[in-house]
Amino acid sequence: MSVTASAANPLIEVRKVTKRFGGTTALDQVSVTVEAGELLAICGENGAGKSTLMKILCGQYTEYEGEVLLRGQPLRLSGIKDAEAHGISIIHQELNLVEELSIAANIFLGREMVRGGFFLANGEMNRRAGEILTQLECRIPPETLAGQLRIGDQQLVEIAKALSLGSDVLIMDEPTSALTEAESARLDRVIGQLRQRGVTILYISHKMEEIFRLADRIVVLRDGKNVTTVKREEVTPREVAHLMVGRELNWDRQPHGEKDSEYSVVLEVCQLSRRWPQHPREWKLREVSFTARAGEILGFAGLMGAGRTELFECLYGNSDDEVLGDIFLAGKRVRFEHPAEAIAAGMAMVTEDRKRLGLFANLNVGENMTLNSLHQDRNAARIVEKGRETKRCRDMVGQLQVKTAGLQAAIGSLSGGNQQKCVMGRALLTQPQVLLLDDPTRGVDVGAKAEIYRLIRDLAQRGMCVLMASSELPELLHLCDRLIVLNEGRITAEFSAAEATEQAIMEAATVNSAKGRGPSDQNLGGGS
Amino acid sequence: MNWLKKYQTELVLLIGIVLVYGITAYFNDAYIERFQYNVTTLILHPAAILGIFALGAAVVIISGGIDLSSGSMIALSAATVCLLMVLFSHWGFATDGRLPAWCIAAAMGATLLMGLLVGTIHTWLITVVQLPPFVATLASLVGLRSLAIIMNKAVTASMGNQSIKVNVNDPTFFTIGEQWWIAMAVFLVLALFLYVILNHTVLGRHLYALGGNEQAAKLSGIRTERLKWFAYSFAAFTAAVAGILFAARIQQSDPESQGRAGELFAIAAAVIGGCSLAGGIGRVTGVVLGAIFLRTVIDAVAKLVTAGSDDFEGMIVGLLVVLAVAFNQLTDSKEGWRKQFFPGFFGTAALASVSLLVMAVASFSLRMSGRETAWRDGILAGVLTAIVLTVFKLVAIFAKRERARVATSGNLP
Repeated sequence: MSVTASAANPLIEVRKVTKRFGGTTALDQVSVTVEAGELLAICGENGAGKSTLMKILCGQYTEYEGEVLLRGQPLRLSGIKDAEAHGISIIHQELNLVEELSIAANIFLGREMVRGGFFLANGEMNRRAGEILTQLECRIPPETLAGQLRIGDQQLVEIAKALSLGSDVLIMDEPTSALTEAESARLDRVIGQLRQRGVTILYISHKMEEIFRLADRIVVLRDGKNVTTVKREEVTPREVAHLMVGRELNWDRQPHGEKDSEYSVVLEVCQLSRRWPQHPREWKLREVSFTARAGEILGFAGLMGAGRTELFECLYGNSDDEVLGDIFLAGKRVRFEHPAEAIAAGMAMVTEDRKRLGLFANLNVGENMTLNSLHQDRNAARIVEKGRETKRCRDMVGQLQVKTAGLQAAIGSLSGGNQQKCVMGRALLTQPQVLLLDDPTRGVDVGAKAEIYRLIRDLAQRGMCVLMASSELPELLHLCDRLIVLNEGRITAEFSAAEATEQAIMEAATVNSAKGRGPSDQNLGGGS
Repeated sequence: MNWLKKYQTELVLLIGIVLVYGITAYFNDAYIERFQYNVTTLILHPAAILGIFALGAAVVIISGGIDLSSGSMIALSAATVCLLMVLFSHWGFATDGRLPAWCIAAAMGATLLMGLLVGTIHTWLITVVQLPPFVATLASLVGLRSLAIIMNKAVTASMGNQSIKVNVNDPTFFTIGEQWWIAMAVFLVLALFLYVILNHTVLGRHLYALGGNEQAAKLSGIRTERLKWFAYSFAAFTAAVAGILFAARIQQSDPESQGRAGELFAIAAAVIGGCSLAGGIGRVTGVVLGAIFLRTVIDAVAKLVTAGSDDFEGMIVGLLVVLAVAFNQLTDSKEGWRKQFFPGFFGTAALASVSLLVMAVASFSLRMSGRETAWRDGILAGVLTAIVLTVFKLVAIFAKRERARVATSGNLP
């Protein structure tokens, strides 16, 4: 396929594409043009719509409004295979290799070479795979099982797969998020090589430094809309960060009172570290320390993979990794081995992925809510008294204003917002001292969001200590009394409500945290 | 209406039991003439024993696991209880050929305790060694029966003449095995116990939660390993109870045949009773009726073809399980009955296979029941099946074309 760059005739043109998931609009009238042979960086906050756009381009989402043109021709992809046939490949953040198969088998998966129409031509496939890998500076034998490779090499296998398909458009979704410095450098060189061959690259990244090193142009998305497309030379990283977050705030900022002296410290975390086995970063969390008071809403900001969920897991006793450091709850040192212990001690958590980690599709609304606290309704004979259970549940449904046909209704019949209220109700029915909220408004419509915010504020006013992680900055700014920014497992900034601005938070969240490392830590990072 | 929807499975099974019994009675006079014998000895007694360990299988299935060991567990517990009783009389505890009550109670108690131990080992293998439940209980499936055989041989050898089977001649034990209502009473007590646990205790709610979403259950502070301990121990315990009743019924431990394929019957009864193999769904009432329904059908077929019911058991169970699961999935799925059952080239191959299977089943079954024209009739049945299914396939293809035409003519180019 001949690729000639010409400004008049873009390679890919996305015209006013809109994608909705139920009530939420992930992409709203987004238009992007991609020139042949360029490296176009796509940036935006979590949830800005980058991945959705890429999934449309690679054929994963087939239903959307608007149109996509490839070389001037309208393109309606029917699936990933179809996209590959058109020369478009994607390299996902979570790699899609079959770990039990060899590199060569992975590269040719689904289109294996055969001899005599039936027998696998393993030799031929290994040879071809070897050739491609060599071009990519990867000297691993193609017979090696994919599962034995480091992440960086697995990524190269995905790239090799794309090359063997003859793809001339390559989409990379945060390719360096799990790479070591050396692997990142090699990826840079591979990208240079690909570009020499005329491959067009769409590059999603949070890391400003990378974007400014590699990109020709930068598309900024925000809240599913495209903000602007700029040439790299014409902007500074600071300006791009500003473009990413510079939305108008939808809410008035609440006046946040100082809560230092009158409220007691409920939770104190000292030098908490959590290992990350077999990963170049080595630590999911590194020396995290903070305190949280009763009646306070403490926010945790950070990009995907910054360690927000990992931190909450540690606090909630749901970590299988080695954890160092101390946690004090109401002045007592605690170390929870199981969420049951955390709940008994007065912690409650609302998990991030509602469907996977929160809901029980086989239980009804009432059963979903009382699950964590059902033992309260037992009588002397250890039988659950349905009357007591129903009463507690009905009170909570009223308090949270859950819209449901009844306590017997199937949980799946509720809207996302009401499901989330049920999950919060489950946590609240355990009467916790400390409430951990991990992205509590994800997949929730605007109306329910406002209700959930009001609820959180009420809880804090009644003296609960609320820790809230969110990928939506405005939400954190709106609700929180204090804000902690996590970046690659470390705290890089802490703001009071008065000091915090979106730009400042974004800078702290995207700054290369390695620059802040002490000498001892640099050894840790470089040892891989 | 709501109530009807919830207990749909139970209702269908009840109607099914009455219907199957009625049809059999119409064709076979024995069902009317020897009504009591048929209902109690041939249906309810075996159904109760099957139901007992089906309850255990159901608890494990509801908690999201699977227990393949119950058949072998039955063989092992039958061997244990018989050997203990034989040893007790060997040691001279019997007076006038009758063991005192405490001896029988001790033998049974020890057997039940052994059930709990086996359940504990299963739980340990699953939660600590982290074997999949399928593998852990598969090991027991092959291992425990072999252990029972060795136990019988070893103990009988030490008492004089080595044998695989162990006979017990005790009047009390005989009564326990002979009276159908004893098995039924044990079944109902266990069913009631399980009903209370599942519907009225924290433990029960947590079992459903575990089966529905294990990760979320752990995050809800549920000690999932303790729940599994209950589930697998209860399963092994009920298999031990069934093993004792099996042994009492024939006054013998026969580890080579006792409880063979029992695990599959138990799982079948649970699934027919509405348990989902994906976990989290199932009710005691369904399992009870599932066991009775399964037994009724097996007995009905035996009556109709006038051959040993044992020979047909496997075929009936297989068919019923497929039908029950397919029925549940079709009523739950979006496509429902509009689903295309024989799509594409593969569908044609499946269609031919199903027709051939029908032909084989029909002709051999008819031959066994002594019909002269069995082969001709069997082939006819196969051909008829093929024709009917082909018509279905064609209708489905045309319906799909029609839908596609309607869909495309409206909007897209």
